Amino acid sequence: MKLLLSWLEEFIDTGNRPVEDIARDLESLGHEVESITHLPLDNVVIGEITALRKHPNADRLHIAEVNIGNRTIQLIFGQYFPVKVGDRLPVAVATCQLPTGLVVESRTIRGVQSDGMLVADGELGRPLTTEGILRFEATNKPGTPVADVIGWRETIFDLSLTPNRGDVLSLCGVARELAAKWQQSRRTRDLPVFHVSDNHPSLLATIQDRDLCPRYSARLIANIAIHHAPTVIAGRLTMLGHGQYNSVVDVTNYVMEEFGVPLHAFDAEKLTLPLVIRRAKTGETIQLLDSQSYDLEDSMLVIADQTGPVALAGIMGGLKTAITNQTKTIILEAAYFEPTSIRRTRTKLKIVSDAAYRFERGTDPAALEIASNRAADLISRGLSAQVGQLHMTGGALDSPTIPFDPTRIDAYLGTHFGRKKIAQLLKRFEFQLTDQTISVPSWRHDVAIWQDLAEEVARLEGYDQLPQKALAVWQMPPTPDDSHYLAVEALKDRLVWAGWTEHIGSSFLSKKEIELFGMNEAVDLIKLANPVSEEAAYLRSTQLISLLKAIAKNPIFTDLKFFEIGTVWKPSANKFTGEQTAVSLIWCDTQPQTLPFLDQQLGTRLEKKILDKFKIRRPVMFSEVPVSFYLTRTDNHPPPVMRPPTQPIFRPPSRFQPVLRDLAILVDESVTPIDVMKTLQEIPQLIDVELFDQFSGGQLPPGKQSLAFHLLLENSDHSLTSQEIEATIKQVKDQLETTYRAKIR
Amino acid sequence: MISQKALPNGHLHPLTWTMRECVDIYRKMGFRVVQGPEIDSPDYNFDRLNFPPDHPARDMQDTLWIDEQRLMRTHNSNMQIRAMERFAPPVRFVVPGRVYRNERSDATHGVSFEYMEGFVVDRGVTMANMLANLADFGRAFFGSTTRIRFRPSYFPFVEPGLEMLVYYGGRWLEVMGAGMIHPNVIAQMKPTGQGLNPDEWSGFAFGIGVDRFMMIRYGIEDVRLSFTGDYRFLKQFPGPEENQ
Repeated sequence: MKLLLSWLEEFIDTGNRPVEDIARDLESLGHEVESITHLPLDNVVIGEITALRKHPNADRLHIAEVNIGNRTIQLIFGQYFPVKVGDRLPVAVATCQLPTGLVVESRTIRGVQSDGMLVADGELGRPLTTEGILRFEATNKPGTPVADVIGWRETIFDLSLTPNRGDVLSLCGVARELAAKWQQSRRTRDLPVFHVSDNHPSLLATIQDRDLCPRYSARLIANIAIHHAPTVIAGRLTMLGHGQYNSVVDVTNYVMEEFGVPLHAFDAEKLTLPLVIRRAKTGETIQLLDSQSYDLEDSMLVIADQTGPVALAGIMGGLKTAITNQTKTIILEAAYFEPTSIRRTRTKLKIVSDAAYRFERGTDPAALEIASNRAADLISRGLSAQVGQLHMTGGALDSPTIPFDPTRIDAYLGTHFGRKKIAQLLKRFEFQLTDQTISVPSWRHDVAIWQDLAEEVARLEGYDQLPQKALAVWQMPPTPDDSHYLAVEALKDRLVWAGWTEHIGSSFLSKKEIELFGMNEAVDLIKLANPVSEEAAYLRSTQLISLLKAIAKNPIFTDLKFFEIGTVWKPSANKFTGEQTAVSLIWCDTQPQTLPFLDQQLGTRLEKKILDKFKIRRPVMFSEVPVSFYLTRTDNHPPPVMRPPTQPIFRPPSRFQPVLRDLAILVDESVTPIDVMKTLQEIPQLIDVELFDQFSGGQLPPGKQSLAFHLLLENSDHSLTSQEIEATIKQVKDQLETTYRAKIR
Repeated sequence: MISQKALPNGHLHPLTWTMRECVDIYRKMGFRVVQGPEIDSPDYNFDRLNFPPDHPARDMQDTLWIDEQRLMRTHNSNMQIRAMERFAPPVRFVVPGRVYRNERSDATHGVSFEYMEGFVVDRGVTMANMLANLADFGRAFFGSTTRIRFRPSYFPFVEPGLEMLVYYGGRWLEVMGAGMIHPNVIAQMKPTGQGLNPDEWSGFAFGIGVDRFMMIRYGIEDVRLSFTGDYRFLKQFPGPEENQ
């Protein structure tokens, strides 16, 4: 949820705390601040009007010469407020962006050049003045940034709220949390009390289904005119990412941001009152504001008039009764809907809306009146509108209570706060306490048991302030699973010692892949109902494809030997999952392998037809057996090595193809291949040295041996040139000649 | 002919190294491994872990479904219930294994993740015990002088819930979620067919994203690289030392 700092100030005095401190306090309460954005205001400066004249080609436009300190610019404005020579006003100088996102550019308006804009409060996004624009004293120099003079910058917090805290999805909700943290009271607003006598039928709405709609309120507002929302409302909503519609709909969004209560307005003249809040009848349909038609079911709650459904309760209004520019009278709805039914309905119909988002997380049933009054006030402001009485129907509010047992809370947390401190902490979150019980505020749908209260206590105290105490020393006795885990890890160690490299691949197969291997979808495989993509539609029944991809990925390396130990699913083996752990080996050769720790030949040769599909141009052998095959045949395995010998510093492979060169040298028999590899480690661009042949005797001089290496060269920025390759090879040869008196063969 | 001895070692995957390190730290604190199925029922994966039906908490874990009875486990918290059908408390378990989410993969997320769940059930386990245990783990993995912070958070199967952050590489990183096991979940643990009494037994649980730990440990910026089989990647990681 996005939160505007200036707007939050209307709900709580932040006492000029730095925004970073506010963010830290919100985080300590469990409300993660994903980002803090300072809106651009630096481009708005004080401009002094030095000359004025009418636009020659447009009646309503004026031209001003404006001194902005270092120079004078010309701009065009429409006269929404009086402007005279000598006035000092906020000016945006092209090219710049305002907090609302509006970009001010130089342009020609009906033949006259305009290089800036007079900035009204709405474009600044802040209600500052009654007149609608800031005016500065003559002591403020032209060119001074406005933000410096008024000491204000606009900030947007982007909060990532957990789904249990619907109560924080509003300015009022955030203010409640901060008020508790800062031990101060919230700012409340005096709203007009509407005493207008109601000459409309007393019955505006009746609830037929109290389970799904415990409370519903409606009021008539007559004699209104639809126009654009005031600039402050429009500006703030824009900054938060709301669309702009009209003065009524924008106000309902505005008040939802303030109090967390989604409101809905109907065009009263298109309704046949009274409204009925009921379940839909099977076969009913409704066209919603998104212009789509939906088939309704009897599990879904609707607002209906005497002719049929006019809104999908808590989710979206109907198109037929929507506010238009001709609307004169509205019914303003403020209601509390049961969260799970809202979620079921909107999931079924695949509708996303701000209202549903809040209702399914739980709104405050006690806030209907204040939200409705606030909206009525904003909608009727400046109009000779008649605001009708609030008609509230539905049950009384009963706040759940929890037995108050501070001893248990202390014992659970491992603290020694005592009754008094725990009571004080809970009161700050506006829980009502008696000796024996605690009643939960109407907005806190997440608190039901004493452990929830323990969290409130811990949260407000701050998790980082809580004591820490180590668990008692105790070893759980060995379990079969533990031994199994260690045995599998030990098997990996033995494979690595025998020269195999571990690969970890995807658990999924694509349709194309299963067709390639002629697998029978119905018998051999488990298919996902909602795969992320067609590439991952099936659970793998073998690790062969994963390992073939690994071979195909590395055409340049010889003697590749990969293994993978992971889960495969063979549904024919077990009805529910067919899950088993497979050990799979793949290597580039024509011959079966024996492992030093297993008295058994492994491997079958893969068909060329298959290899061709993976563009593999060399013979490949493969073996796959259940892990039990190894574990039952290798008894005295050493325990696995749980830590690596060194922590390597990882270097990402280049995007450019490496180059392979072979090199054979003649050296003393005392020189080991490992020595040679270590010697060459420091040469840049040489990323790998691999031994592929070693022999002595025969025609070689006595005491000498031949070593042959693959050298792998690579550069992270570009493909190597032949000069670079030759230079590196020369460096290798020089190094070996100097260090080992090696002869290049 | 190359003798067996002269053969260079292969390489162990960095994810395996990272998982072993996590398991090892906890085994030394008296925990044991327990494992279970990757395909599970919504009952074990959600319902008995106190995920309310039709609650937005279910959106926190986009699920891969096979059919209405079977899903790919979205976490290995399913083992809190499953393990406790086989073992009576006190227990200290870690659950290494793969979990699945229906999310597009990107540089920091695959479709499957390697996770390590851990949990303790005993008499008188407190939040203070949990905080000390998690901080000990954080310092064991990230270094003994690592700064650690806790932030309240929400997972349906714990109360209170939290996230742990460590200061590493110049910034705060979220490294694990945890919490005191919710009494509704304790009551679903049925070693003798009957649910444990939450007034008698308490515990805590935590979950570690091991892929992320691997990325942090080795400075891997794109996790997808680890699963392509690129030998230029794999061969940078050592095999285990041979203890002969």
